[in-house]
Amino acid sequence: METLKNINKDLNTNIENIEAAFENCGDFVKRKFAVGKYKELWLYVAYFDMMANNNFIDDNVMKRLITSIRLTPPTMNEFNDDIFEGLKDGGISASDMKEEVNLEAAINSILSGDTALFIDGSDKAIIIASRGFPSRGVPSSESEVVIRGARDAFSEVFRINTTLIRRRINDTRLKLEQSQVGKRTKTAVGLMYMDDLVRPNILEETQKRIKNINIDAVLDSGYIEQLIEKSWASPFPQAQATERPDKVASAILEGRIAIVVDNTPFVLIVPATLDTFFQSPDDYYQRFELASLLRILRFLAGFLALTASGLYIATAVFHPSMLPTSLMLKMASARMNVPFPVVVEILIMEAAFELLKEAGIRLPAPIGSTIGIVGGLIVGQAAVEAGIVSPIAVIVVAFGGICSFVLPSISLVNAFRMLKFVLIFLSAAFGFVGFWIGIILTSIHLASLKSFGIPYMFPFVSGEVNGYSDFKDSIFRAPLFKMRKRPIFCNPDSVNRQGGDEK
Amino acid sequence: MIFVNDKISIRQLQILLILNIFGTGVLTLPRRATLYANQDGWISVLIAVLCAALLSLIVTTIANKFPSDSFYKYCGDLLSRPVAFVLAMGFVFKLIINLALELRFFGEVVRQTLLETTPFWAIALLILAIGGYAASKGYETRARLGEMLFLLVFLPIIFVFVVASFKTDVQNVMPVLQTPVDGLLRGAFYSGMSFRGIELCLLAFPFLSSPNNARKGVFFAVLAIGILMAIVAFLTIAAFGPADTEIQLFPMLQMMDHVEVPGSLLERQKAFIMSFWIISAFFIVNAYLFFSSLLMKSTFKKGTHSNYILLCAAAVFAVSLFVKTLSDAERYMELMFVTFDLFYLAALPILLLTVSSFKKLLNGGNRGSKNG
Repeated sequence: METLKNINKDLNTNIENIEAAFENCGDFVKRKFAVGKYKELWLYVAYFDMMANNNFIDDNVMKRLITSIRLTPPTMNEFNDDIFEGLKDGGISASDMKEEVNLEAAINSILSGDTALFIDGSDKAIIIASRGFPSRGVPSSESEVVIRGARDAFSEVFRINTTLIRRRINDTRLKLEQSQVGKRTKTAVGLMYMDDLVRPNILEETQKRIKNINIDAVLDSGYIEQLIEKSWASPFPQAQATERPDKVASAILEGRIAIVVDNTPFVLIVPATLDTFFQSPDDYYQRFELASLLRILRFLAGFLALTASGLYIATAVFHPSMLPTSLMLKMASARMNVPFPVVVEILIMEAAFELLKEAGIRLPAPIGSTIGIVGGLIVGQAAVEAGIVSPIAVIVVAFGGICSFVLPSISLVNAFRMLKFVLIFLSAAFGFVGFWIGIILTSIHLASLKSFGIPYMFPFVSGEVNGYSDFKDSIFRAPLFKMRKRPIFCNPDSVNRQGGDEK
Repeated sequence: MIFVNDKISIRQLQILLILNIFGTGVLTLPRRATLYANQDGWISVLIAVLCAALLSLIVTTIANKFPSDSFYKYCGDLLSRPVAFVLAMGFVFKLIINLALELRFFGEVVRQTLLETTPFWAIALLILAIGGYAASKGYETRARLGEMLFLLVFLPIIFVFVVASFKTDVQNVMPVLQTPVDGLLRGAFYSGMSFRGIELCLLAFPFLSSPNNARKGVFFAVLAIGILMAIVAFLTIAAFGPADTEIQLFPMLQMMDHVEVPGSLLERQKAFIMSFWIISAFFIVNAYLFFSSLLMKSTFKKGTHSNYILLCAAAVFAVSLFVKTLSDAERYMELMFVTFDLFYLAALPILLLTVSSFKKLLNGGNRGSKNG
């Protein structure tokens, strides 16, 4: 498409340009029509079917211009020279309108669901906000279910998502910076943050990274996440993706930045630390004792999800003497008829577990649960009875799997899922030495990782920067009234969130 | 720390120092101490701790005078460039040889406890590879790593020693102070080998976010880890008696094997506890590789940090293969201690401090005469 410049005063030229741009677009709706008792003025309306709210356009634009305008003064003759202003002020009953002089911008507005109205003799078009594409409304959270807490979740509609956040923070200091990313998709991307709580350098860095994205299409926030990460090779997520508006609102109130992307129910939160992936919204809605207990459980589960198989291999193959004699004998007798080495046995089980997980996701929900029962119980039992794997291996792999389901973040689980295999191979090669080398390698990587300048392992490292107060919301969750300071993410000038100093 | 790259806090420096000192000598410390001071070995260790703490003050005082300068730069300013070059290369040599000997020890301990059939070179290559990887990530990452893994090293070992303390017999360390003074001092001198690592502070100051507070921080870190090591020595001697402690190659390992934790899932936890030892050894490897490559880069001012790490790691690996037995390794270690280690730990800092004070006095005098 050649570059289109300004809107022409001649309506037919504009129509030619517009129709050339939308050639072969079957869903493009356009109409050239005359206004006034004696058809004094020709107009041209253009929008996309179903992207714009057809009823709204008919009632507030077409009906007003074709019928109502004839019945009430001023008449077309009385508009005198300024037809554009006359139509804008007295011809259309919509609250959200703007003028546009650039034809390409007008086309972009049409593409995003607005309606463009071109007027003969005017070098400006009226853009009427009329977006009304179908959506599934406000759904319930599917991937981050909580027992206590709000049930609503983000949907695929950008404006619904920003509204769900704004509904929770009724403060003028909540800002929304909107831009379009993707040369072809022109996907709406919004940065939401508290003006006074966000760290200016983090905001600047986020704006810069989003501005530097140069790609044809952005179909999901996953694109943005991967394109703004500095350590692209890391298996660990450096932005938190969530479909829960309460989680996003809470993060914004901590000084973090939410990146809302159109067409996806997953909003990104930056910066992210490892600690934040262990936090769940209902930790804050329940008593602190229970929340703390669950946090400890999650950290333990995270460690075991990563290490259970590796630890078992290291112990069973290299250091069985470490175990109590009775347990060691039980393990040996269970493995007696298994023809494979321990590592192969574990790999078979892990592969089966991964396959079951994938099959469960892809299949429709009613069959998905059956796969769990058939795969887990029947095939597992059959494999043990056939002597292909030992019951201990089934227990270890299933235990690791259950531990991974305890974690609230699927991105973190995926990182552990991959690293688990590294630990399995290192443990199989070097026993405990290999196991610890795997742990050290993972730790080196985690220690070197930063998310928008914040160490990924904060507050377990560099905690002193914030007076160790972030420990109150890490492995334990302190009582709410004790959590007086906002976390490290927020602007150092606005750290207090309770008491008289709160801003 | 945060946002700023390659700057670390005093607390992070303390943690790295503690990990380095602990990893260097604690396995053999009780044996070395009892060899010369019998049941008073732990008193020798305490004397060594006091001396090390005092030396740490001298080291940090001179480093604090040039907080943003490299070792090569401030040695050049004080003693001339050619001398600084020789000193920097000597330091690199010392770090490479020390690391090769430590690696030999580490490899042998791993072979004895965890991997009986794995050849030494494979273990050495493995630990050098991860040490080099950590060193290539820079000081800030190393410091954060120290914070992350600090408790993982110490908690299990402290737990074992607390349990072990119930099995000790205080009669084994009685009567106290029966060893002649020269025996106590010789014991203290060789126990001092465990405090190699303090001299690394000569190189670390440009990475500190607030170098002015480092003197106190390093002093207390040395004191704290020294006292812990004295307790370890005390408990080991009390558990085995001076005669047994003296003949065991790694008395601390025996101690770990000796302990039975009631109600524990693990029956022989030596293998498990030794796993934590790997982390400790890893910190020595990455510290020595980091500082030797840093020294080479700041001296030659060419190439990348990673190139020098590779070079140093290759040198360490080659040297470690030449050391055939553990007794050879120990002999060379003692030789290194009385020559290079003591020079960089004590003689050089005192010399630099004297020259610096003298120059300051001279400059002050000149300024005074000009003003006058």
